[in-house]
Amino acid sequence: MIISRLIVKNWKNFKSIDVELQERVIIVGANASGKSNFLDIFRFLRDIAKPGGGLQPAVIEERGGVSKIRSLSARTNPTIEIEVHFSEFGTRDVIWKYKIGITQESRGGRLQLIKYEKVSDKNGKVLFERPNLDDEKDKKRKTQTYLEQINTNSEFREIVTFFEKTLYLHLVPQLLKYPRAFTGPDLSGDPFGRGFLDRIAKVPEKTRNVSLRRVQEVLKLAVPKLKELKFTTELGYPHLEAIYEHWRPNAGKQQEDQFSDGTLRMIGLFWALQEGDSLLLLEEPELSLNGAIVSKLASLIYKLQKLKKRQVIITSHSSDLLQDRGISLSEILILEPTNEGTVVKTASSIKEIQYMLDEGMTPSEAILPRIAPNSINQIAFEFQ
Amino acid sequence: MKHSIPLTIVYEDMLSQYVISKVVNEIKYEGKRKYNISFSYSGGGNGYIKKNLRGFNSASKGSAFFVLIDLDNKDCASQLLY
Repeated sequence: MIISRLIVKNWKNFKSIDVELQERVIIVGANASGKSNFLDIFRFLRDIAKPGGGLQPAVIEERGGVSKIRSLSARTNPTIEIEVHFSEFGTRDVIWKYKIGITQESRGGRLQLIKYEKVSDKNGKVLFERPNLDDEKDKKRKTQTYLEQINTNSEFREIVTFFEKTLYLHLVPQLLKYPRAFTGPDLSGDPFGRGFLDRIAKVPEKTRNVSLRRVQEVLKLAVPKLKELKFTTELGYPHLEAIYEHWRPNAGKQQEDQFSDGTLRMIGLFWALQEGDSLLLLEEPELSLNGAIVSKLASLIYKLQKLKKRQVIITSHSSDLLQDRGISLSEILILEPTNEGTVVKTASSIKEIQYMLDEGMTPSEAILPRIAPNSINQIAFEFQ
Repeated sequence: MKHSIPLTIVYEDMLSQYVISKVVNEIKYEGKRKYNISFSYSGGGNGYIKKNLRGFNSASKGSAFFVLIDLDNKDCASQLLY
């Protein structure tokens, strides 16, 4: 299942979003245009639906309250609204619609309240619509969504599971190399990979070996002299071990703390693509990687996601990634900051870009100059 | 004219960017700037523009483009397209 359309109002940088999403989505935009905030919409829905989650912790504990979520451009309509349409992988027929409106109590405990919540199925039949009579009788009910309540969501559990299993990855190699140097509570969903090795350790051995072998095959092509990648444990701690070609037998072994940042990020990326079958959110997967590898990432991602029929949403600044002519313009979302918040456009909706591609320019050549700040040439003079 | 016309500029280097900006900002209509530069394309040098000129020319069917390029020995800008 994929999210085929997203409609949002008053979310962080965005006053209003209404976009169609494909199986693979690449989000581009200038710094601080809202790429991570866009991904955070899906993480927010996951934080509501996950076990032990819910609307209140998703807003307050994970995001610091409604005031930090609401769009700065919001004036007359302070309700945060999210509407998601689902389709099967490879189709555009809508099979589910979920929408939610969130507001905040104007006094008292200033709890987050459901302004409305609604689910409809592929025939347009409304499964429920809130606020209902029960909500009006007991106002406390409005502090919880139906996503987080097992006894109310049985009819649309598919949506709940989809949100719950959404995976976000922005692997920080240093966290993985030196996990004990970064203390403090674990972040929900382990977005930065501190517990990455534990996640690998928890996977059944057979599945783990198959997945690691796939990672190894990619790494062998990308990392010179790498022969083998395997999972080991030492004194109960999980480790990754790479064996490199070396003139002395048994001399070319390295553990994850000796891996390069790029190697670790590639392992994280290709592992995550095989981990789970729900939505995968990848934050700048090109970081630390050689340009030649990055130019193949989009097609590699597509090959792996197709096996699982899962949707992948990527943020990127990389011209190498967008060099791939196999990327359709309908897969690229362009974030353009304006005085009224950031506007999200599908690249295919901008006819100038389509004309440029028709004349042989790559998506990278046609799109990336549009998102660069106009005054960027001045930056070198600022420090003279 | 209520709003200025969005214009995409294409240039070889920082000097030509400055020249374009100066020229564009001088074009006025009823005392106000007629164009505003919305996007800039530059890949560093003449080769970048020549390589992509057909793309920019085609894109100008959608909105206004201003390309500043050294014609070298060409008599007319349109010769660069063919």
